[in-house]
Parts: sequence; structure tokens; C-alpha cells
Amino acid sequence: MIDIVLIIIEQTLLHVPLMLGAYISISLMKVPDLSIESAYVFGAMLGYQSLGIVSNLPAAISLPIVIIGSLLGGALVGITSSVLTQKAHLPHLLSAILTFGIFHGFTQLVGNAYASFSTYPTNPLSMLPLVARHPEFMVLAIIGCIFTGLGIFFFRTQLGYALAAYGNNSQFFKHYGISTAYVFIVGIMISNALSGLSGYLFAQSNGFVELTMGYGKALLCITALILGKTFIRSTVLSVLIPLLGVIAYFVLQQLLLKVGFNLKYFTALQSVVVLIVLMLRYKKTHRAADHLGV
Amino acid sequence: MQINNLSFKFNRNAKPFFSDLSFEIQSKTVQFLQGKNGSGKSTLFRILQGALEQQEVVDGTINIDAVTYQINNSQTRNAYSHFVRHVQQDFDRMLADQLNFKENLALASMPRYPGLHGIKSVTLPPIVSHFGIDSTKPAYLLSGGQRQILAILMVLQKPTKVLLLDEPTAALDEKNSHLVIQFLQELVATSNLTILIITHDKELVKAYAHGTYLMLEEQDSGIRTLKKIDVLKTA
Repeated sequence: MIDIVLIIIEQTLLHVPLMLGAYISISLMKVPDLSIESAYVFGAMLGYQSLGIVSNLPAAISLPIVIIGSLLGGALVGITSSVLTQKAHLPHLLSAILTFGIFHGFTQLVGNAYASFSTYPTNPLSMLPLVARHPEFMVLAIIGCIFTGLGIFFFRTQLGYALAAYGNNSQFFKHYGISTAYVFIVGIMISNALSGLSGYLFAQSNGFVELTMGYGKALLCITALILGKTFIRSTVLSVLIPLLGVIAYFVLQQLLLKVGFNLKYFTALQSVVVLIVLMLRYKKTHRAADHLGV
Repeated sequence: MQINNLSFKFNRNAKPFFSDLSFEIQSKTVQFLQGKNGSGKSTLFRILQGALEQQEVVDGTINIDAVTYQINNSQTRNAYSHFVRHVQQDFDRMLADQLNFKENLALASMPRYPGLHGIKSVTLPPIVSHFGIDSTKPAYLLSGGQRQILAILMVLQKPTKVLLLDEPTAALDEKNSHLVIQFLQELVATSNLTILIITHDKELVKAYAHGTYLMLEEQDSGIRTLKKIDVLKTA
């Protein structure tokens, strides 16, 4: 039982930055931000490459550098997709699809379709192996706490509120002399940067970066955010929504595994759950799911 | 606010739309502007906001608070446009409907590039309490009139000398229409604002216009002229 709890916590910690990012773009900004999947992979790849440069340094020094590398990788994806939306006037879904194509190439240019961390002498996530069977646990918990704290701070700032206002009404800012393009680009950039960090954490934890590792992450985020919203219905900005959502997601996953559910059907199950929730909501409110249900 | 010798064409080859148009609106007043569709009300509002298209040809001056600005110069146009605010007819597009009254006001006062500072704590003007507005409710739960008042207060979060309202009561019932106009009258009484309102509601004009209102009309030549109409004569 304790092992299952540790797995749930570890999986949650790996996904905390991704969920905070998805909360910003999908939930607050109400943007169909498919580019978090590209950011997840490219962030992981830049994290991998950064580690290659600093792998001989002590982990306490190399880890922050690798984290910055992965955040930059994700941010680059976010800037690309959001600039395409704002400056080339494309729908964001199309921008995200084009960005996927561009970074599908860039990721292979920077690294390969597959890159193994076994070529490096150390794993900086294991520098505090306090839990024997989960040596990365402590570092992941520290990273999770730091980014959750940053999230709490961020959601109380002008920019945090501006992102929520964008989701309420994307035409809002032009009436008050506030730059809509700036709010959109910065919001998607931060969201994708966080996705890039999660990509690195997941890749480091699994020992490899792979070109398809981002597939299904957008669906994971939407499912977890819907679960989070069932716990907290308030419209007030709260990191608890993505955090409780992702915990519930992995609890559900482990429960299904426990009862013998074949996890290869889990993605299909998520889609069905999301579909049912959206249809029930439509039946109740008669409002189309223009807010992605989250 | 005083407009002098305003001339306007949609492009170099078009017929004149306004020609040598001059009028004055006293500060601390609510002035109404009427006219049929196509009479040039919205175009006049655009000129007053300094929001012109590149191909449009304009001349004349605008005087706000004893400072005269050339309308044909994009730099001076930009200078006066900072003091002229506009509340569009579809005011709901100007609100973040899930956020409450105070949060909307705080958002409207943000700089061009919002940063990592905390949002400004907004003190509600005393005028708000006179109209029974619950500032903690999300905007979508307020009445139409209260949302209109919110939109007006939001544009006033930035320095304003002239407030333009495009059919502010068009989407409101009679009770809410009176609420909004009474709010505007209290607003001018407690500030130094000049307010110009486009409306098709003749009853509202009769009830609230101070002596006269403005009427835009299209002449046979296509040129639009502006007349001051005595409210008593229309009654």
C-alpha cells in the first residue's frame, strides 16, 4: 500500500509544473493549448543537452542549470506558438499544430528521436536519496514546493489576474490600453516553460528523452483540471485546482490498475470521462463547452 | 470641449462628410447626441477619440481644458486621445464577467504591460453605494444597469476629461436606463468630466437634457451638419 502511495506522490510531483502550466493556459486563459505537448518534449531535450554540458559539476549546481535549460526549451515553444497566434493571426489550435511540426524537427536537430540519460555519470534528481526505493523523491518534492509557492505568488499578481481576465474576455484589454498580445504571449510562454520542466523531470526519472513522450499530456491535463474543478468550484485563482486534480488523476489511475484495468485503455477512458462531464454540464447549463470544460 | 472648423472625408477623393463643423460642449455636463442611422454619430465619436484610418482626411482643432490640439496631426491626436474615453454600446464586452466589481476596476487600472506587482487595491467611489451595487458579486450577476456603470467606472480608471457613450441604454429596460443616466449626472456633478451620449431614446433626452441637445443631419450635398435643438421645442 505504501508503495502505491509513494508512486502516486512521485507521479504527482513529476507533473506539478505541467499542471500549473496547464492551469494557466487551459483553465485561466481558456486556450486550447496543444503546444504544451511540444514544450514537454523540447524542454526535456534541452534539459538533457544542458545536463550534458554541466554533468561534471556537483548536482546542487548542475540541477538549477538543467532546470533553467528545460524551462527555456518549453518557453521557446510557447513563444513560437503564441507569436504565431498573435502576430500571424492564426487560431491558436493551428499555431500549436504548426509549432508541433517545427519543434518535431528542432528536437531531432538538437538531439535525436531518442536520447538516454545513461550516458551521463550522475542523476541530479537523486542527490538527496532519503527514500531508498525512490531516490528522486526529496528533490522532486523540493521542486514541487518551490514551483507551487511561485504559483501562489504569481496568481496574486497583476499578470496572474490579467491571464484570468483573458480567459473571461479576450477582448477585455484593448479597452483599457493594456497589451493583449503581451498578456497572451507571456501567459503561453510561462505555461509552456513549466511544461518543459515537467518534460525534463519525467525524462530524467525514466532515464530517456523520446520524441513521442508528450503525446496525451494535453488530455491528461484537461482530465486532471476537470477533476480539480470538481473539488474546488470557486472562480478564485487557486493552485489547489491543478494540484488536487493531478493527485486525483493518479489515485484514479492506481485504483484502476489495482482492480486489473489494462492501462493501455486509460487514454480512451480519459476521453470518455471528459466527454461525459462536458455533456452533463451542457445538459445542466445549456452552454456550449467553450471553456474546454475547465 | 470645443470643436472648431472640423472637416472630414473618408479618403482624398471622397465627398466631404463634415465641413467647417464647430460646436461646444460645456464641461461638467451630460450632452446628448441624436441623429438617424448614417448621420455620422459614430464617425464623430471616432474623430473625438482620435481613432482615424490612414486614408481618412481630417482638419480642424479640438480644445480640451483650454489646450488646443490639431486634429490632422497624428501626434497631437494621440495626445488628446489619452483623455477621451469611450464606452461602446455592447458594454459587456468590456468586462471580465467572472470577476467581481472591484477586481474588474483593478484590472482596468493596470499598466500596458502587467507585471509581477500585486493588483492595486481599489477604493470604490462613494457614488457606487448610492446605486445599491454589491461589489463582491461576479459581474455577470449584476443587473444590466449596474454592469453599464461598472464599464463606465472602468474606463475612468485612467485619466479622463471627455467620456463618450454609444447608446448606453440601448440594451437596458426603462428602470436601468434611468439608473445609468442618473449615475452619469451624479458623476459630472462630482467630477470635471464632459460627457457626450449617443442615444435614440427621445424620452430619455427630454427627461435629462439640460435645455438643448445635439442633432446630426445629412444635407442633400451629403455633408453632415450639427444643430443644437431646444428640448422644450421638441416636447
